[in-house]
Amino acid sequence: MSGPTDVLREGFAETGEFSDFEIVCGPYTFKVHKAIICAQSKYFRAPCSKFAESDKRTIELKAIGDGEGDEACDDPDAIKLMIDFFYNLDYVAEPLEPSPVPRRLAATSAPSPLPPEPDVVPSVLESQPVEDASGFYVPKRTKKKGKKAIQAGNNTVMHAKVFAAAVKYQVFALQELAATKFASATETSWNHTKFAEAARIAYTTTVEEVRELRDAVGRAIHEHPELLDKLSIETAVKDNAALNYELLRMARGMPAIAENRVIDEGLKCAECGTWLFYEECNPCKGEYRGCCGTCSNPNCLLEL
Amino acid sequence: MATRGTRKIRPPRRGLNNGEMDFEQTWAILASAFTQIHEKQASKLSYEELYRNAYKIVLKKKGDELYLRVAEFERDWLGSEIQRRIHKELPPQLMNALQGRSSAGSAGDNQVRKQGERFLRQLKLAWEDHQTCMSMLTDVLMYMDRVYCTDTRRPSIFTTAMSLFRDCILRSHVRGDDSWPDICGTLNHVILDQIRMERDGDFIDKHLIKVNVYMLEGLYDSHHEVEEEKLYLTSFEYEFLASSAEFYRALGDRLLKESDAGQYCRETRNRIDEENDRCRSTLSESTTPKIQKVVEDELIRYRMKDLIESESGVRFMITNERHDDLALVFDLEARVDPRKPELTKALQKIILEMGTNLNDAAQVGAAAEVPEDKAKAPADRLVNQQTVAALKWVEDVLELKDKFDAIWKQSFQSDQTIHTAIMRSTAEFINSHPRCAEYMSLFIDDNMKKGIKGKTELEIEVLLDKAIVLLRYVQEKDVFELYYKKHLGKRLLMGRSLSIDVEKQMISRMKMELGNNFTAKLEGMFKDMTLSEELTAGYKGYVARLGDADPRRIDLAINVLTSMTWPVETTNSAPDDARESRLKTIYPPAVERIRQGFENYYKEKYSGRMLDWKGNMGTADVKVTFPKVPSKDGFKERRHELNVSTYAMLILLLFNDLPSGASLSLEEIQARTNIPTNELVRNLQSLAVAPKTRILLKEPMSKDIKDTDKFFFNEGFMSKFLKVKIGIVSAGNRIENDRERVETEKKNNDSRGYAIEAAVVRIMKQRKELSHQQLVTETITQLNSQFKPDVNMIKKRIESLIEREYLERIEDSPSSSYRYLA
Repeated sequence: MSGPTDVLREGFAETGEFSDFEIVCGPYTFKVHKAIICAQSKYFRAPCSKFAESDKRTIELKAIGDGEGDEACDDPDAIKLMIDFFYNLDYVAEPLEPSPVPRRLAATSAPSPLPPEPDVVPSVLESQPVEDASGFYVPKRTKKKGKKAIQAGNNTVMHAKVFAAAVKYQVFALQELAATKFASATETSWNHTKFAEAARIAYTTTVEEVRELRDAVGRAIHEHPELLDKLSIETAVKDNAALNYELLRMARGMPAIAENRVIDEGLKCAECGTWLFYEECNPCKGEYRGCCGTCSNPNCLLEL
Repeated sequence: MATRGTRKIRPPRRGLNNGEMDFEQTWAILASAFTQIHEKQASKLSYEELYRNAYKIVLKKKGDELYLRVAEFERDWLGSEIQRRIHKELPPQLMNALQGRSSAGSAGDNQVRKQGERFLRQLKLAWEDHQTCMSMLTDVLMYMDRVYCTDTRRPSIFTTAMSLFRDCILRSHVRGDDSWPDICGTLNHVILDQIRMERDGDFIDKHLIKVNVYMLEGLYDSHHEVEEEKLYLTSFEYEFLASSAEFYRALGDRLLKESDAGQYCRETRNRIDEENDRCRSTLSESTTPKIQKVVEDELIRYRMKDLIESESGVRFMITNERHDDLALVFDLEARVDPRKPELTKALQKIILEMGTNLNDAAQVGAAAEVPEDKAKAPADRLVNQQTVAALKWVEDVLELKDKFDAIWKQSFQSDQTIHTAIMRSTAEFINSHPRCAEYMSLFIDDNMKKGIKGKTELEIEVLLDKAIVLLRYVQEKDVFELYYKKHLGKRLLMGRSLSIDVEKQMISRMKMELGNNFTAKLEGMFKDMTLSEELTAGYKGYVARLGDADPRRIDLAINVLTSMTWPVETTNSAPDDARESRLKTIYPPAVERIRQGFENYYKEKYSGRMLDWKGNMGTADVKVTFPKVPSKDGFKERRHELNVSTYAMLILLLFNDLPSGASLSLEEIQARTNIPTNELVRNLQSLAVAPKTRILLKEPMSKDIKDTDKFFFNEGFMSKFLKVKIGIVSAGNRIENDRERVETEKKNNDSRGYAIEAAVVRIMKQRKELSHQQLVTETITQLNSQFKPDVNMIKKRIESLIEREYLERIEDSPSSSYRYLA
């Protein structure tokens, strides 16, 4: 990365100098700068200027395990990487431990040996500044490489978490970067034990319409059917109907998501031909009775 | 509504949720927070918590439900609390006043105004609160907007909330009474009312209105957020423009009746500026061009004609030199039409009228033309009068032109269109004067003889420029050339020109303006003058070399004129003299000898050339010795040097041989000199009748010269001067009399005929075949710089050319056409 981000990181991110805001998440407290975080994320504009957070100059992002429903909470490590990104325009996820040797269940048929796990050694970004003889600051950095040589490592789980955070906090640049890293990590580390966890996160932390992670997961399972033999994958796929359905479509040689969904006649009321609702009407709790069941509750929003 | 009809495209979702989430519980948290936000107690709320909850709902695929709930929440809030607050500010009195249903006095007026302002303030407050709250809600619901609204192509929650404001507030009716306009209509009325007050000179709270206009600009008529459907445009602006048009129509009526045109213009300009300011400070800048057009239409476009033609209109301004007012009129009309049709029309009419007045005045000055033979002397005086009138006409024209030039520069920003209009109408009235070309030449003549005396070079320059400018307007350039040649010839031959330099400058200016062709002959005249000087000197040398130096020999100065270059009038004054002039003038032997001598010299130099002596054009210096008469210093012979015309010299020489006291009759003189009658009469008049130069005495003593009159040498002639110049009667600077003019016209028509024939032949030579119509058009185009050819004349010339077999008719062509015969 180029000069300005180095200056940002060394000047402010590490020292917290001129910090005017704090982000707390789990064990971490980050001293940040409104100007920088608001530039990266629309999310932070409101707490920086309104609401209780602006008075306290602190926002506490609920971490997983803080006692609330976990789906909407954050992994403090992912938040840390996000804030790294704010200042560095890049982040490095810690590499995962190598997978333990998988145990075979029901090894009745001839074992199909899994391919050996690729030996991925994460390279560390070398950008420690060096002072040259003249005392000038000369940043030493690795050679700039093409987009393919992105520093992804094998930590698909963390990339998925960072991606989720990026989507949640609307950091578009990070969303793109994390998706790229996730895809590239998936290509090398699909065989890692943690991949099932990554797949689960991908399918639960983002909505159907945000495709980047889901496509990478689907493609990996589709291209490496042997993964389906793994218990961890089996559990993950069984647990998630969306993943289930998308894999089915891919197995049939169809795109994961229909381009033009056909709205068919099958769910029309046989009596009057009115379209039926497939979900219950929340305010009035109108029940599906095989008929359109015209909602009698005047407050029913679905009648709007 | 955007939310209608969604049931049809809702995809199946049941069973996709993993992990049940209590939507109601989460929504309750959000709803209570929203209430707090609306009650302005947001500072206690945790943004993180609210966002997380909204995020969770969307993540659990309850995005649409959340969306609908929020909309419902806003609808409730606006429909009850806010609506109530607004409606409270609309008491029946205000509503009645706005509808004009009650006639409130000025006190009531004031109250209504206060109520209106309160209403505006309340509406402003409601709008601003709504904006603030919705921006906070949008912050909280950012994830829903981004994920849910984008994917389902719903308007953002902010947009929806804004339309809700429109539907629940602006489209609501006070006390549910449909017979009143809704809040939006009421708002229009209140704003228009305030603007009306401001136009009448009151102060109003501009900011208050501006905020409400912002609101209308921020809202749309339907959920399509397209520029044309802004509420400001669909609801307010139309009414504003309509009511403004009405206001300015009335104002225009009143102003036209009550104030003069200058004031009208000033008021109009102020109003336009005012409306500009209003758009900037009170309404929307986007309205500026539209309201401008309304004001311009009502106060300028539809009124310009009346304004310009009004009593204090353009004519009045021009007469009274109201340059500022004229500038205003120009400015105003330029706003509505770059061609400024009304102003140009008016200007042209005025110039034409003023010019026609000048023409008429000149005509009156020249009107009293008495037939010449009735009384010679009064006729001459009349001619002089006419000459003065002619000069005055030219000066008046110049003055008129200067006047309009000044107006054009000062008031009309040197506008090109107006310039053309002024030029055109000036040319029109100048050319409508039948003798404009003659008058112009006369004007230059007068200046060359007298006018430039004592003037600096700069002044002369200006004068020449003026003369050229006028010349530009004259269409019949050929007529002008004819007159100019005549006048120039007289000036040159009689040495009447004050400065040959200035003459030459004039010629070179004409050359620039009208081209080489025009001045070639004039330049030839100057060349002849120079050549003649050389000839004279050469002849002197020739005589000296001959050796017969005769002390009594007469000095000769000669001007040899090329006959085609010089105007014929100069050499041949009248057609009925033609017969007489063919008789050779008899020169006395002394003169005859010199004449012969020069002819010999000339023929030696240029063999084959004919010299034709023009006695009427020359002058002679004659030394006369008068007998002794008693004077202060005793008896003394008196010598005078007389400068007389050549003919007068001949007459005087006759008396040399007469004994003292003898007389000659007119007939005798004519018989012995062969001078043409009219020339003789004229010369005798100046010798015997003019009071100061009476060299001869006449019997009987009367002003008219009769055949039987006797002439004596006046021995008692007295003069204070040694040199006496004897002018020829009516040879001075004057306009032509009728007979001369007929002559000039005839000449002119002849030369035009030649020019037309030449042009026709030129064109046909090039084109070989051409239809009649085209030929006429091209001929006119070619000759336009010289004069405006008469179509009938062109036809006659073509006929004549056919007769002479230069052209032939093409027999079988559908339209009449001609072929050139080489």
